[in-house]
Amino acid sequence: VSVDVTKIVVAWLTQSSLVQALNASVHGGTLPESYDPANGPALVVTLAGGSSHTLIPEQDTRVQIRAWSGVNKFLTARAAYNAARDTMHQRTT
Amino acid sequence: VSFGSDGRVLSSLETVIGQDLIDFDSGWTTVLGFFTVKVLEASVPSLTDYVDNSQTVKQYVDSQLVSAGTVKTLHVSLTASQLKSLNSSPVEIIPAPGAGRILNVIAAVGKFTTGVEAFDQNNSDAVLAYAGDPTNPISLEFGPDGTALVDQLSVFEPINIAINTVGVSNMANQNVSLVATSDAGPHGDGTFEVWIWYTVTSL
Repeated sequence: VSVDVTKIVVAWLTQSSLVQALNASVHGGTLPESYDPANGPALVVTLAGGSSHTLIPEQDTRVQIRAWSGVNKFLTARAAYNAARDTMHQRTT
Repeated sequence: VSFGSDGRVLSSLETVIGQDLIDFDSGWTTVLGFFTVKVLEASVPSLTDYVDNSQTVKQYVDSQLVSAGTVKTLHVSLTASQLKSLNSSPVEIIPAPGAGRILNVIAAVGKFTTGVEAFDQNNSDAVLAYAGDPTNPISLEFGPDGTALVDQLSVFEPINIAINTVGVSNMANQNVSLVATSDAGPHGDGTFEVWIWYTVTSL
């Protein structure tokens, strides 16, 4: 059974204490229309290609992470992105 | 990182550093970056999965072991109740090897472990035999000095492999079982372990 990498990464980031500390929401695919930056930053996970292994059941995927925040909230957007980055580099603190 | 049945993340690495952007429509700020994520799918082949349309992983590995003449070993523990009914219900030590194959037992050793209650005295000796049939023996009967198998204290018991007089038809695709010459009485709570070394041969 093929696995849904977007779903896995969304679950991974949702469970991250770093992401939770920023009160960031995590979404797969696109940013929901109802998103309001006043409620905190958002992370959007999108699968952007990659390759499958020919012999073993492994997917080598290219995952796009896009962090969102409000107007001129560069630091908040960057903090959310870095929380995702640190999580995906196995950092927990 | 593991997420249960959905698969396991083997590694992840940022490959394009996040870039600051401003969304044209909303004016919101956004940071965009890319990661390479390696995911192992949950469906790692198990022993019962098919390597092709005809055989499972286990069958394939077994067939390779047969052709390599690999000596395998098994350790089987018998409970007191199994020992007491070892004549009426022989205990399988090595499973049947599959059609067109025979098991060759190279060596075996047993160990009795005494319990709290002694077994009833009887003259039951045990023997390793194809399909639990004492007329197709693999070992000599054991249970030293004519005393009962189930009477022994905690001692190692060499099991002497007999000269094979069993016809091929009685060996082909038959399991190897431990069987006693008679069932013991109702008492006793000792246990018995068997270690056995064998190969599988294709006929």
